[in-house]
Amino acid sequence: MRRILAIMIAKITIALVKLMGHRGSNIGGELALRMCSDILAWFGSQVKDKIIFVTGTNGKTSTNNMIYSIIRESGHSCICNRLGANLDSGLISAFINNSSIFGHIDADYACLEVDEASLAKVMVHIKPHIIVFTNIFRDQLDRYSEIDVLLNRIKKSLKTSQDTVLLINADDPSLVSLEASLPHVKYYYGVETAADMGSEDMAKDSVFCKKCGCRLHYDHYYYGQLGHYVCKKCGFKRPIPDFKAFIQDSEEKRKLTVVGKDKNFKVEVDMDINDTYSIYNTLAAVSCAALMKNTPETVLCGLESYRPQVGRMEKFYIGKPITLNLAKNPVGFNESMKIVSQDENSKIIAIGVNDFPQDGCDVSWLWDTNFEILLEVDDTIENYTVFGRRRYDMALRLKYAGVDENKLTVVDTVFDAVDNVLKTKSDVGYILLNYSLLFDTQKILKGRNEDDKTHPVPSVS
Amino acid sequence: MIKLTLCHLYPELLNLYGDTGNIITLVKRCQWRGIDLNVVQHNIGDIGDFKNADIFFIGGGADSEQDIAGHDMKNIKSELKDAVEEGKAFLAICGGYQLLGHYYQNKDDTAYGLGLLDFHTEPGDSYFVGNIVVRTHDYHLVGFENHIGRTWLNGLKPLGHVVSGFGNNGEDQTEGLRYKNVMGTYLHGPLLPKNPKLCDEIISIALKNKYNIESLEELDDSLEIKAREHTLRSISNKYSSLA
Repeated sequence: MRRILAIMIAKITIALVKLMGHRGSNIGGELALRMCSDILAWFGSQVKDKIIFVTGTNGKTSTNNMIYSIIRESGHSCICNRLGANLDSGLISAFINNSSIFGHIDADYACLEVDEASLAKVMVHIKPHIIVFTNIFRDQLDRYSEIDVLLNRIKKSLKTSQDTVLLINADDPSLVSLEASLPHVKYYYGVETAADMGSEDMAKDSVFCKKCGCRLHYDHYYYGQLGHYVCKKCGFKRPIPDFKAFIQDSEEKRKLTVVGKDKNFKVEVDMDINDTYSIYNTLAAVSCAALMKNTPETVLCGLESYRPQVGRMEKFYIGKPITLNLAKNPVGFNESMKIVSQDENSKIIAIGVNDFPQDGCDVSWLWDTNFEILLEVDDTIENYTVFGRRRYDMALRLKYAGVDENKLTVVDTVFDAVDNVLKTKSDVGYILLNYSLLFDTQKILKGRNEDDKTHPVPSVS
Repeated sequence: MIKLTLCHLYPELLNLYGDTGNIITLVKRCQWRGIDLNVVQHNIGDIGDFKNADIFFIGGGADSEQDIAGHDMKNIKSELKDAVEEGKAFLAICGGYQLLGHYYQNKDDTAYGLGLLDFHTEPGDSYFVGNIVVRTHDYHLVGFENHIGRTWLNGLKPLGHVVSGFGNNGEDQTEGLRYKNVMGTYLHGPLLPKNPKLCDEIISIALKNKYNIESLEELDDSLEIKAREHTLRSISNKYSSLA
């Protein structure tokens, strides 16, 4: 009865919040959780077939949504927190949105993106069948303390669920060191081709062997700490992936081929977004789908129907093409700025940094981010606009990167930031921001978007 | 041309919390004054040759990496001790600060501390996390602290006194340590971009030591001051005048 009451109240709250024009990803779930502490376990027990978690620092939302699309394509019903609300309350909200007023759900699968620091909390209630790990980068240190602490916490929670199958990025030494000692069934995915992912960023988090403390040797290096590594002292090395990705670059396109261990599974995907993330996200999603015995045809159709979520290189046209991209940490920002720096058009770039709990209260990571790369194309950048609660930290960061203060504009609101992007004379505009600024900014852009002109974007080479 | 050298100790291991920002700030504030600040790295296994170093910097790292650095540091202890006693400028942040004293990692696992200076750090029960304001001899420092260690100075002088936040141990109102020209502190954020006066004090010490130059050219710090105001106001309106 308490359960039903909790769900009813949560549903009403979600509806009210939506009426007021907010997203309400978390609030309904939070209420329900307070009224009924075992609600997540109860929802989980109703899922008929499999529950999949996607966790890690970067790429959770995209990977999870690709898996969702593939499951839907295979003809099954699936519950998914598509907008990326990934704390326990967000997961509960996803279930509530798909439940009857009495809390019954009718779903074959649930694929849920889970915040890496909340994994322990969530796994008390739900033991997933598969956990997909994307990567572990430095992100929001004040919440996750240090990477070692985070890894240990993840390890502990995994020990409570030994039947869970782990799908791990073989190219990430942090993840691999974590999983090596665990008794679980493990599958690895990794990129085989020594492709140039063009990264010379500063965000190498764990180039030292977690086992013996020696420096890892890299044969290839992709980005962050991802690559083909070996410890020459203790022998710790990249495992041979069960799912291998090969990259073939031609002038305009990038073809990604994923091959399963038994060679019967092979998928070829044309990539149209030129950031490195998409490769790993797609590889992780395809590997997970293969583990669930989906056919290559289903996987391809699923990827086709997948649409990138809000703020992942989202394009608008308001007098000029504007690209909105979410970036949450040094690796994410470095990848975004690489794309900006490859665009030869004259441009305005707006950078928004907030410091709410979901963003991380400590913004010192701005100094681990290679904003200096923008200076290489400074002559094509008309103006740098900074906004968000930590706009002055961002302004200082740009000043010390070498940006001329006359080209630096500090604005107080999201509205002013968008306004400045639109009124500055330039061919294109870029807005890079972190999580809590995303939806307000996107709403303003959407409101002013000239729909028919979304396509004529000057090529981002 | 006036040339200074900064020795960055263990940058590959101790690089948490945007510590690189401190180096960037030192380099830029020198560059804007026509001073060439050359940054050299001291890594694991390197020989301790610090004759040319005018400024030392050591940052914080994850426990395991702090351990590796701490053990290697034994090899250069006497060279570092000489540099400290000669009055060279030395900025040590968070874990790097703890390493200079007798350092304890946690209750069951005692980790190495260099014992270069006679102070010690004990583990606490909870993290001290948040914005912090510190009053030093003639200006206020603004920063962010995040540490579980509780540092006790055993009679050494602190870098300053806590106006808002926790500081060394949350009890005696002290923050950091000042011995000759060694400055240890828990403040990151990073520390120097929003505390240009401290940055300039470090540069001044180095100039005085090497060239006997007493004066330092003023820079336009209006953006830095606005950033300080903004942060101070976010802590409490009553602090905004400390910018």
